[in-house]
Amino acid sequence: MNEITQTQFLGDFSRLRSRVDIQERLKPEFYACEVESIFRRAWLPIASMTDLPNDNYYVVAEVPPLKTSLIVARGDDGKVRALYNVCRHRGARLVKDQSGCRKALTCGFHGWTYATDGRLIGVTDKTQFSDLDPEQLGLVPVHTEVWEDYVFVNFDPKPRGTLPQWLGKFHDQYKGFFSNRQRIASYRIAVESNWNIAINSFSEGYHAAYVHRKTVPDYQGGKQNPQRHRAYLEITEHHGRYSAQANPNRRVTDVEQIAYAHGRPLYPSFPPFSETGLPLPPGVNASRNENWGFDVAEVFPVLIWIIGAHWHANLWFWPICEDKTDVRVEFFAYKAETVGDALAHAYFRTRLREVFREDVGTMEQVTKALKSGAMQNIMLSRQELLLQQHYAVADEMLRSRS
Amino acid sequence: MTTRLLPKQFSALESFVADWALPTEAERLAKLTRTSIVDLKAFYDAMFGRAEEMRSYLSSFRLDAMPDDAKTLFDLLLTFIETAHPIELNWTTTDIDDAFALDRMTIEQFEVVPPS
Repeated sequence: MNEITQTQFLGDFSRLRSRVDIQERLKPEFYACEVESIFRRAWLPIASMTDLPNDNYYVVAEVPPLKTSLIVARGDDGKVRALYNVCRHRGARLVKDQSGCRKALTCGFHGWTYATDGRLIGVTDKTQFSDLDPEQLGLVPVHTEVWEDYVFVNFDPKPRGTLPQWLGKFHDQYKGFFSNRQRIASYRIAVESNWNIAINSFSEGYHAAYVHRKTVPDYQGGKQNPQRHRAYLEITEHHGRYSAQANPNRRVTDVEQIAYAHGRPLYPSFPPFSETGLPLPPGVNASRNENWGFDVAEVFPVLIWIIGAHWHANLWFWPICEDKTDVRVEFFAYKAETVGDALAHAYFRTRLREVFREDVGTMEQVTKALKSGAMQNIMLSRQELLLQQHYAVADEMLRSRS
Repeated sequence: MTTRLLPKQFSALESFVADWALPTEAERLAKLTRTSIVDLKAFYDAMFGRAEEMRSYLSSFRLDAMPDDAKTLFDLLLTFIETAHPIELNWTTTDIDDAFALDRMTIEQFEVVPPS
């Protein structure tokens, strides 16, 4: 096959626009609307089941746009609940550490105690309260659903749809993919960037030949695909994904060879799809491209997945205000059993980390340049349809504000 | 601090232990970026020919139960794997110009084998 790769597009693109007014999105008033219409309405992934392996485990999840801290806890009954991290007595922050495993959570202010399902089970010096009903004073819950390895919440008092409806086609297409993994890296950065611009830098591959010329100069592209067109690009009602094609003639460096010789191939090593030896669910490499590199998906509004056969990355973009974003990144890979696996993990995490740092390097420059007001609109190509989709979904939610 | 030793067959590399046998990703990265490309190349060259021998030696141990000298060797080998990129990708410095500043990034460390 000598033909230049053409992207296979799937989905309804009729509502997308190649020109997006970016100036209005940098304003604090616009951001306030985004918080109410998007972040208070959407199903938001906030935690990983990897951190809740058994009953009574909990993690604290910060949700900056809603100025909220949640305790995500697996109760004695095995059920996962997200609860406001606020003691019902006087509003103190109940849990101060990041994670743990305890049967009961006690407030450091006046010693009120809650079960991991949120029930108030202990009030100190109780007789001094004249009208206190512990049954009415459990921790305040948020709508919580578990999907695959992710805990989703919805802050809308009456969510406009279920999580399966929100995920749409994605819901049934990643079965089991995110489990049996090991978290091997986690990075956190407060970036002086608008959150849209931040997440935009990860949902197109047009930049890769330029931004990543030093770290992964030839992992994509090659004779069949000199412009590095996506092999496959699909949008659903709220989300989008694409598959990047590998360059079969990539130069493999010596240490990469050593690192992957006794472990499984991880980024940027992309063996032919038929050799992965895995039954991958239909959402992964959806077009079953033999020359598959990796997938990128945007789970609107805050999460980007980067997905390979034996690994995945979660990239979260939580807005703090209109020009600050809390970027949280995690790399997961198959579980290590041998020294060979540990070497593969070490190579993968550091090679991808440097690529990631290059991407983050663009965010502040772009936000700063746009704030000069030099231009009103940004221009988006067909290879950047996931960005067009991001803004179309955002605008639809902003318009439907009631 | 006591001197950390390597298993006997790797003792020729002991001069690298103090600087390069680092237990965490954050320390390896910090060491990398404060090292000149010339010094990094010297470490790379010393390690390169012996990396497979090291892996083979270490593979007789459980990942989470290595004796001290093997753990030191393991840390040295992991540092080599994690710091090889500037040499192999022909960078002129040990950090990239346009990348996001390292001192603004929080790096969390995880066990090589996750607790079950």
